[in-house]
Amino acid sequence: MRSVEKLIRIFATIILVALVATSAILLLNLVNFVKTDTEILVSHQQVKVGSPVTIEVPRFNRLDRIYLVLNATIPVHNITVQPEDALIHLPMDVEGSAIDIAYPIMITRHFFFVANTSGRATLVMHLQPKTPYAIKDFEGRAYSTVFSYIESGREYMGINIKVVKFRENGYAQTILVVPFNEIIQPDFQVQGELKVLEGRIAYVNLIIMTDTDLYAVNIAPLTTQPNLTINFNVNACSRELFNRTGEYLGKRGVYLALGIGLYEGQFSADETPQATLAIGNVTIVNSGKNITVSPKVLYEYDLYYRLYIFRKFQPTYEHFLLVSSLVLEVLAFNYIAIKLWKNRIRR
Amino acid sequence: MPLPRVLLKIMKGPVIKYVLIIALYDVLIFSLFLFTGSKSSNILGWLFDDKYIVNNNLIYYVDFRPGYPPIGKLPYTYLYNVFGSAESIVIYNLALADLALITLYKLLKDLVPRRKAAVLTLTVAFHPVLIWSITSNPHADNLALFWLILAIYYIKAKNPVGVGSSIALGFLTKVYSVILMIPALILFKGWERVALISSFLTVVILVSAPYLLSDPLMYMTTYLHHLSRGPSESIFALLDGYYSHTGFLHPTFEAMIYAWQFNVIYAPSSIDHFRYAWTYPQLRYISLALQAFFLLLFSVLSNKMRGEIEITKTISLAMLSYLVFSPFWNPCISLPTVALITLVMLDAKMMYQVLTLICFAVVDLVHLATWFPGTPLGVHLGLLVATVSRALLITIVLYVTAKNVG
Repeated sequence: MRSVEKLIRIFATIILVALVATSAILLLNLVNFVKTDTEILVSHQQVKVGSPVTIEVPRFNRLDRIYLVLNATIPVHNITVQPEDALIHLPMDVEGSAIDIAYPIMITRHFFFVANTSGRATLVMHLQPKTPYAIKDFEGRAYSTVFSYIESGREYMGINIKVVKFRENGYAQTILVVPFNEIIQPDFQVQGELKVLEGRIAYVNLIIMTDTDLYAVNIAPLTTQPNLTINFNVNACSRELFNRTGEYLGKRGVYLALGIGLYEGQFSADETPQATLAIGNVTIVNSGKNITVSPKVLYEYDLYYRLYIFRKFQPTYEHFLLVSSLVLEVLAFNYIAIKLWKNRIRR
Repeated sequence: MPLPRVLLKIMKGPVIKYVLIIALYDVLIFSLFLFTGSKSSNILGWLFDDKYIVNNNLIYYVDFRPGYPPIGKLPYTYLYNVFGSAESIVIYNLALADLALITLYKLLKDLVPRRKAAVLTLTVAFHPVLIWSITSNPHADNLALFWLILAIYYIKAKNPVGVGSSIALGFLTKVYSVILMIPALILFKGWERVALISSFLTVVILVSAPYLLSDPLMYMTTYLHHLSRGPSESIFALLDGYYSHTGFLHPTFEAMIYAWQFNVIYAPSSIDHFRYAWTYPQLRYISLALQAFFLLLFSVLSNKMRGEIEITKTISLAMLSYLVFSPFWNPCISLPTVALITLVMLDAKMMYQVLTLICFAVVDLVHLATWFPGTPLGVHLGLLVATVSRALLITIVLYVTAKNVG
């Protein structure tokens, strides 16, 4: 009986050694893959509005992930791949919503592709002028275009918003974001001017986003008449939509935004729901400092981008063999371990 | 014996009584969901990753890493695909909560009088976090609770194979059960210890085998991506100045790359929970040191205990140490905490135990309220009140436990 147990113990030791060896080889193979599984290209291109921008994607393997991060403030409405079937463009989705309101990508544009074949590809985009604000859909979906607008010798940033899809509540909101990573002090205020050039708005709000809350102060109501200049001044005394005043003081501001809302009910069925606005200088005061967001629109600019090629692990025959061995070895070892434990209990 | 008398006998038997109690509980909770929860909770909305993988023909753990391991995640994916209704998820949650409560009752009944076991189980059953978890949460918390209680039950029963297997299944559901391996490893000796480790490894490797074959790196990412996450709603989060829940949102497609590739894209930031930079990095190590110290202390102490009650108490304390000193807290974490507090106070007077559990329930309600905008205390004060009150309650629990041991 003793000798049988001794034999089983020797057998268990052999299996254990094999188990450790299999795990070590498997781990080593994976570590070797991980060492070279990321390729990053950081570059920039001169953009001339009207001409296409092309970005070359170097050699990739099937199922590799291609991630393009554009340092672009304006929405990129079309991005195409050449050859067409080389990369599959995955839709933007943030926790179930197709809207790219997500930190920390508020002021960048992200595009994600999965390689459908092995080879090379080219990404082709038509970009809009550069603005000081990152423009994002906040509610619903809109097609926004920007342009430079000059009136009485003063420069404005013009923005036309055409709503493609209203939210279930009938509203669509586009936000113009400026980053603001500061603790909000009692002297905080935002001053500026804007005007509705054409179309109809439901509201324009100034949004103060902190690390926990969103505060929206109405600066232009539904009744705003076209071509009327609105000068606004939002400070700690301003009452926001939930009747709170200055609750954000002492909190960490993450970004400020102008939220432009359009309401479905304001437009007839055969009318394109749209509005065109002009945004002037906006000055932010906080902690004794003044920051002016100039409404300058650039038609030629440098576009910085990062292109990531993330390699995807592809199992080989060796890998299948190693994992299968691991499973069998663990099963065998477990069987022996339980047998020996039960033998001890019986004794 | 005539059939009516047989039926009457069965009806009078304890099994039928228990079945009736469970059925009544289920009807009560499901009615609560139908009248309140179904309107207010966004249970299907939380399954956005399932929607994404279905719409884009992706496979979990091969193309895409979800937030939970396979046993925790896949049943919900199945329910989402087949039924696509909140009701199916709530029924599944209810079944799991029933399992957890039955196991808790069985464990308690072996240790304390039947009446006390029943009262304590009922108190846990009506804890607001458990009810919330059943009616509004499509995550694996109820199942993870079941594996945790089952593992403690097997520790008490001195069955290393049962312990190893339930900890492994817990690990494959919501990871945290694996912490119990430490006290279990200290408690079991010789071949018992070998059987414990081998059962754990066997279950983990067998269940993981399809994913280890297809893409072990994506599978590992499911576990590893949690390492770059920041604190949340704990005393450590508040000390670090982080008041948000689990952080700002990220695009869903970022779950299609490996954890270390994700870390290449983002620089750590003190406002990005998923790639967090601690304002005071020492806090992270203090949390880890406290977790490790108390976990090891109670694990070693459990080895010195002889009685079943003492072993169960110290094992529960070891597990509780990990949760209490964790930089990450939310009402989901309260679920195992409530069960563990019940076990830690086993030899306290029933009235004190029930009172303590009710106090925890109140604190959890205050905590849950901070999630909704416009609540009187607000996020900052609300979290502070919940965190400090919880710390005080845990101190009282430890005092009562230590006094009883003394």
